[in-house]
Amino acid sequence: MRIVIDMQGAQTDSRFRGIGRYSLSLAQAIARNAGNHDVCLALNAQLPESISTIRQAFEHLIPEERIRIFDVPQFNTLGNWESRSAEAIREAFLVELNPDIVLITSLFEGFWANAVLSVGAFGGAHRTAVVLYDLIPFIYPENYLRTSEMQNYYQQKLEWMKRSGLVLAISESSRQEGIRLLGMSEDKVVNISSAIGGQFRPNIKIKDKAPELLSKFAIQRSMVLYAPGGFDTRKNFKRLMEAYSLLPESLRRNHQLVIVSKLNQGQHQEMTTMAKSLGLGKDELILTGYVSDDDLINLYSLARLFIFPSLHEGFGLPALEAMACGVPVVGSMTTSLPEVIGLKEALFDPESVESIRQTLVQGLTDEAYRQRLIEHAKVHVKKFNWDNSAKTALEALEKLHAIAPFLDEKPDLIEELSKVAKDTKPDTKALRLTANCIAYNQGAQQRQLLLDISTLVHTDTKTGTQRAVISLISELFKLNPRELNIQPIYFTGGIYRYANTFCFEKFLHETGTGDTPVDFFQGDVYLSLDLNMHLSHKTHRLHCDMRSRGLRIAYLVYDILVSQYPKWWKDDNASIFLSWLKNIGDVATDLICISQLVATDVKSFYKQNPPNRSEQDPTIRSFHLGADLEKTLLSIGLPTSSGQMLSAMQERLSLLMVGTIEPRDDYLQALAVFELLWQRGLDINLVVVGMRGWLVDGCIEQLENHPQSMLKLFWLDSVNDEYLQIIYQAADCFIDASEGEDFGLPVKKAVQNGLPLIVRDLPFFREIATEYAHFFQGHSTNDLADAIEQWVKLHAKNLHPTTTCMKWLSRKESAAQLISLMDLN
Amino acid sequence: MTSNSLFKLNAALRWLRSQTNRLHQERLRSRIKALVKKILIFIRYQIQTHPKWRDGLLMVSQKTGAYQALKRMDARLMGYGQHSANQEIRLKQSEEFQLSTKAEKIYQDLKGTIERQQRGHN
Repeated sequence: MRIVIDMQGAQTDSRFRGIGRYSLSLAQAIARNAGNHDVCLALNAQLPESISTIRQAFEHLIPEERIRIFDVPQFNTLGNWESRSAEAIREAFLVELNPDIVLITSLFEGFWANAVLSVGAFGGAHRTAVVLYDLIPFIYPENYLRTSEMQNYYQQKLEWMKRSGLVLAISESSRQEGIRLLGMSEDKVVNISSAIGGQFRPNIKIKDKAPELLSKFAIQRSMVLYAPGGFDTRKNFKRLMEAYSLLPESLRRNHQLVIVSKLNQGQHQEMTTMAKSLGLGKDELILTGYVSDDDLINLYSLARLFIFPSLHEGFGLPALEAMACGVPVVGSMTTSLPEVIGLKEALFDPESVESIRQTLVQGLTDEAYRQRLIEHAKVHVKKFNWDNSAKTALEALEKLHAIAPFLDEKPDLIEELSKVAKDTKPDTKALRLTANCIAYNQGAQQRQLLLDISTLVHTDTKTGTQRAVISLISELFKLNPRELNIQPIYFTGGIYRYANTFCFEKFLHETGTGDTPVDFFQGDVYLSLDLNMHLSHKTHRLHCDMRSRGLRIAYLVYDILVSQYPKWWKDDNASIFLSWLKNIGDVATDLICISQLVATDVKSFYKQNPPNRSEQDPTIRSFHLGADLEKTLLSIGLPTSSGQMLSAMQERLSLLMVGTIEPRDDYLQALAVFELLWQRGLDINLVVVGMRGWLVDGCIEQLENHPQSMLKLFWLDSVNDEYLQIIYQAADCFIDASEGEDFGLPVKKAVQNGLPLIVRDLPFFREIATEYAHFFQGHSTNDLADAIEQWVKLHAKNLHPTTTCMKWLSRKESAAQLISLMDLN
Repeated sequence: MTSNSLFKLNAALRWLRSQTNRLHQERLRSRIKALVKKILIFIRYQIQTHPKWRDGLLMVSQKTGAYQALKRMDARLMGYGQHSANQEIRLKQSEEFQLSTKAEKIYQDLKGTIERQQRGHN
């Protein structure tokens, strides 16, 4: 049997109240006890803030692909096109999941929030089960249904409830209400009861924390505690305060009435005025306002007596929580409270002040009575647990499944919507938004791997990163993994578009026609291939939305040197990078680093700067980039001035440095080193190939105006791929003296060309070059000069380390590694 | 520090200074908007905490037909009706905002069916 649980009860603002907690706990328990049954969750994409929390709550209970998200038009007004089409769209989505049973955890959501709940729009009502908490608004319409709109809304919900195949009541009292007030048959309404979390138990260490906690809430004496869960009239505050004011002076002197619940200033004012009018002293009533679960448990544990005088409850969870915490509990003899408290002598008539007063006196003074309440509670609370509730619910659902006829007809949503349009007259924009939601809900036949190459599409700066991006795309197209539709995309005008034009022009690869907006579907994988940090402030919310819609969100991380050495970058770039790093930590499911070292750095960064997320932290893994560039994409042609340099390179030993001229590479120091070596009489060339970077004006001036320029010192600002290849072949050694390196594409290129390496002893170089490079330590000019001199001597004797046996990854292997690392095959 | 009487006396001056700074940083239009919002939240709070006023307002607004507008304003003011970034972007775009190929096909289908039905009805 496939059970689809509509979780909107845990998505709206109800998630902060009992209904939300109940919805979540019941669904978790059903998933735990489902046995051979399939459990799917249906979540509303228009309530995105709760999705990651729910996903986290079911992490080990339900595979992520069975947590399904549906989209509906956003609406403010009930009964218009948006709200009515939303009902049809949601029900059509549920039907597509092929449920045997649909379980709605809270049918009454949606008056304020964007929740959409209906039963049987396409005739599947008999296979729908609904949880019934209470019918309090129906019983007290003057307090809860003040407007005709509210009355109509509630009435419609009741009709749907009556139409459903099964009603799961949270208490016997609610069950009886359903039968008596709604006229539902006895066998249709089942009591599945309720339970509390395992955290509610006596806190034996509370004495250590007591003084701090009590002073936090200005509690100075023993507590008579009430946790009403709201400030409605039915909570019976007036009679409670009146009864309290009639207690003997000695009891009042030694106790305080503490009411724990979230309240606003107006309610606070109302309560204090009421207390004053009933003769309660200023310090006799304490209103704590909202307290955390931990504080609540501690307050329960410290209370002398817990009282629950409410006139009407669906269940009355606080009474059970207090009982589990080992405090004597007394409460009303109405509605569900007798079954929750389970002991006749602990009950009183909530409409009689005298009855409340007598119970209070007995609860505070009669030790034998108090002990009986505590002992009874120890046994009684064990009857309530989520697994029992879930098993009862599952049993009822199985029975319903056995009798409910199977429907194999799929509804025609478009036909259904056209009927809605007859009354509501939607405009073009409303229809287009609706179409957008339906498209998302329908999903795609093939999973998409969406490669974000926004920066590359906007400006190809031909940096190492962008060369790597181009190589990877090209190889991924060639790999063409099965069941995976590879689609490069870019961000523009607030949305993502398919980069079809770019791909055709650059790779002659047809991915589609025109740069149409991207269809995002649940299960797709978004991978930010390029470093799109400058767009992060615009795309971050969209990425969060994509994640909440069930996409995997992955980023390729080339290095995080900016966070480690911010002085090497311009201030604005450093702050943009850090903000990007923070953003991706908050939303990513996967961070793919280009070396083990980068992965370690990223892990330690997030250890020091924990991401702000409710899901589990992203998976951080590493792979290596390929060293060979895409041949078809190489730029060709030699400049006329190339002859002079190449012949100089043939005359003497030539040491090559490749990479953008930037502070971390310290070309100034390299220049000083070679000046020293030339003074020492070493006849060698220094060839520098690298674009002008940032914060290096002094260095550029020296390179341009050096006396050895074009004699033994050659700087090439920009070279094409063919020329660079010839330079690599003509050079005798490759030097990388960078003080921070996590990318190292030029080093890999040098290895590919069989060049020996002289590199700084950095973890990154140790990771990729192992024993095949000549490493040097130290930061002074002499250290590097000595290392080069030593290498030259070794080279003369042919004893220098060579890279011929060093393994390097091809771009094809690199792309395959990426696909397998992300488990996309 | 807070118990220091001088600190308390200076509170108004500090408030004035912070307001001047914010005016400088956020500009007049945004500050006026913030002030209006503050006033509306204050009025809303007063109405919420006085059930008689609230019932009166509900009755009058329903009779005059202003109830829906009030409810929408309230939702905007208090940030109810959280919706996804995706739809927010769509909502901000023009009426003819571009849809994905799949959504466009669904839209044409839906529009065609509605038009056909209207023609049949007429």
